Amino acid sequence: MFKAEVKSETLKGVVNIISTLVDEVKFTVGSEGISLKAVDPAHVAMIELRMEAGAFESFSASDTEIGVDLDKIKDVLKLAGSGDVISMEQDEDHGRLVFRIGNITRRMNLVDTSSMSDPKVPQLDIQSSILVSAGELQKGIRAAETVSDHIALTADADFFELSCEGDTDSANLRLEASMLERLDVPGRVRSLFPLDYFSNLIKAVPADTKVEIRLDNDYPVKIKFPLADGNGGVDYLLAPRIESD
Amino acid sequence: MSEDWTERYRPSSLDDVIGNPKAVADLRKWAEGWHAGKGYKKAAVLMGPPGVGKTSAALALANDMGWGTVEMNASDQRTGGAIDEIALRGSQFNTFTADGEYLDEKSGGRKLIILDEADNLFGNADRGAMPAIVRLIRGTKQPVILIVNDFYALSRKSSVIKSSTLQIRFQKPRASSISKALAAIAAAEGVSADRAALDSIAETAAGDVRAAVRDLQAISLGRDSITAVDASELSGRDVRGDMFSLMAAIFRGDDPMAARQAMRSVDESPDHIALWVDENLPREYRDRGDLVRGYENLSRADIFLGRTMRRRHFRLWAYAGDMMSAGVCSAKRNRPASRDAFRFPGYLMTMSRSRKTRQTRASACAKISATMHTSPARVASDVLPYLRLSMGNSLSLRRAVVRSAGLDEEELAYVMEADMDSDVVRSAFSHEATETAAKGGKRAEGPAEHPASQKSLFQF
Repeated sequence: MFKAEVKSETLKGVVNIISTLVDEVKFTVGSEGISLKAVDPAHVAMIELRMEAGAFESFSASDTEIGVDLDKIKDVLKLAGSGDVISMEQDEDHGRLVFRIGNITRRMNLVDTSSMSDPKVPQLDIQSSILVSAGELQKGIRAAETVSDHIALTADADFFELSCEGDTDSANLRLEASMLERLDVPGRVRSLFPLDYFSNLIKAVPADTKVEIRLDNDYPVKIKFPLADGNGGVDYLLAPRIESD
Repeated sequence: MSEDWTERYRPSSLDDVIGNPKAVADLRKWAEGWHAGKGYKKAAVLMGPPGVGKTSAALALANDMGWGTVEMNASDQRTGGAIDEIALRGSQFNTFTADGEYLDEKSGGRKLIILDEADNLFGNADRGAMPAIVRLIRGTKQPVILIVNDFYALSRKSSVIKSSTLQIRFQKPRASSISKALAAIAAAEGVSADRAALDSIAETAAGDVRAAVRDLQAISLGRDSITAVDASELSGRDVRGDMFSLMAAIFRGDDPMAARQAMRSVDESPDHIALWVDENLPREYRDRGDLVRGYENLSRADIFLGRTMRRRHFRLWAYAGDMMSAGVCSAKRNRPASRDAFRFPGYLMTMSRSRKTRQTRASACAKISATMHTSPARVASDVLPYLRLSMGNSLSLRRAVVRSAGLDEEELAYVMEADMDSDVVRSAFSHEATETAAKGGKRAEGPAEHPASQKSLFQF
């Protein structure tokens, strides 16, 4: 059983973040909230997202699974204006999710979850930690986008840098320790990531959100940030480019 | 609804793949080459008829090696963009498996990128797929497997696919091995099946393991024991032959009826098959008598093909088909000597290579013919050589022709027999551009927008 009401902005934020990785997802629903884990089709990124009951206007649920097509939820979101509250209810008899926005009722068939994988989150020990506002990262991404498909994240004791090398051009955004919320880096670390994954994710995060980046050498990056005023959060892992050859 | 047995009993290790010991060994060696790091091809092509275990072998390999898999098959969208986004991207970065395990390339953790049914790429729906596959094979840092029924359907589109991949051929397993596998499945499902029944299913499947397992599941539905009588309910399956086995039946078989039969099972039109026979006949029949008789029959087939088209009476195809299959087959009196691979018709190859040029020629001639009040054919035969000569000497004539006929760079390049970025071509257009800008709006109605304009060429 699942029944909840949520602000359209909150749902929109969540859907925007998840849809950077996958088209269909399985939400695991419990009495405390909902969560999801998913790996993208190219198997280079992984997301773990939690929304606690407090992120919703109202929430009541028992253990269940809900598989949804994110494009359809985006269609539903188009029906809602800002400030609208969307009510969602699972219709178990028909395998549907029913949305109500004001006087509109929108019924949506759920996706079969039996073939969807249930990834566990790998235990990665990453020492370096950087805390920075999403807005700063967005500036760096805008600079990098025209240059290359890959983005290098570099951090040392006194700075954090986003950089991109193209065939002829390059771009970088260097943030000194004073411009960061926190910089806790024992020694220089650097890894190379797919720019579009990184940028799609960061662009989907509100600019004033504080994003934690955990970074190592040729190792996955872990990007962690809160959702819905701290009533939820995202852990996002991105695999590094293979640089040997 | 019960699960598909072909999925449930997919082998989890290469050791359990039915038959094909050589292919399995090659595949394993290729994978180990990735670990060793040197002297391997980055991509392998598994080829063979449907249902013999190509996909199963690829998945079993990944399982044996502890690799993750990224699979794209015909049910996924496979435009060039989709292949770039999923397969090519996956090939450049380290891996999170579907179970959420992190695999680092440095410690041997890889992902196997499987493009299933890679020969089934269809026109617009899979736009740009071929170049994307080539990019993938060239650039991958992860192992790639392409799975095909018909290697030539893929390799004729790109030579890279032939030269940069390891080709591994899967054969149809023998009925006895299939029967043995069926027995194991029946036992696991708690269905008692007598030997004759399983043998009969395996026989009917004709080497297609997937079909055999499906048949077993269908027959077992709602029963806990099956007999040979139940199994006999299965009708024979149509087996779609390929061009190579048809050629073998015609040139190397000694049963004309079998050749005729093989021709019917191939899904190609007789005129296409005639080209294949024509290409391979002189390579196969070394004896002059055989060759003469073979060509005699092929030419009779061709006469029928012509009549079919002229009269629009497709019933006549049957005679053409018989003459080129059974007829050519029965023309030989000597044992076939050749062991070479059959060739793809050179005519088709040339035509497909020159297609672009022919299109350009057609459009250039059509445009010029409209301004010169003559037919495109006449332009091609009588006008072009002189026009080319005069235009080569005169920039202003080049510009005039371009303007009045509305030629684009490509067409002018064809007319001038020059490259598109050569001076001859560029000069005619660079001026055109500045002139257009200078004259402004007035030029909007100019002949460039009206290729069929009736203005004479010689008004410049």
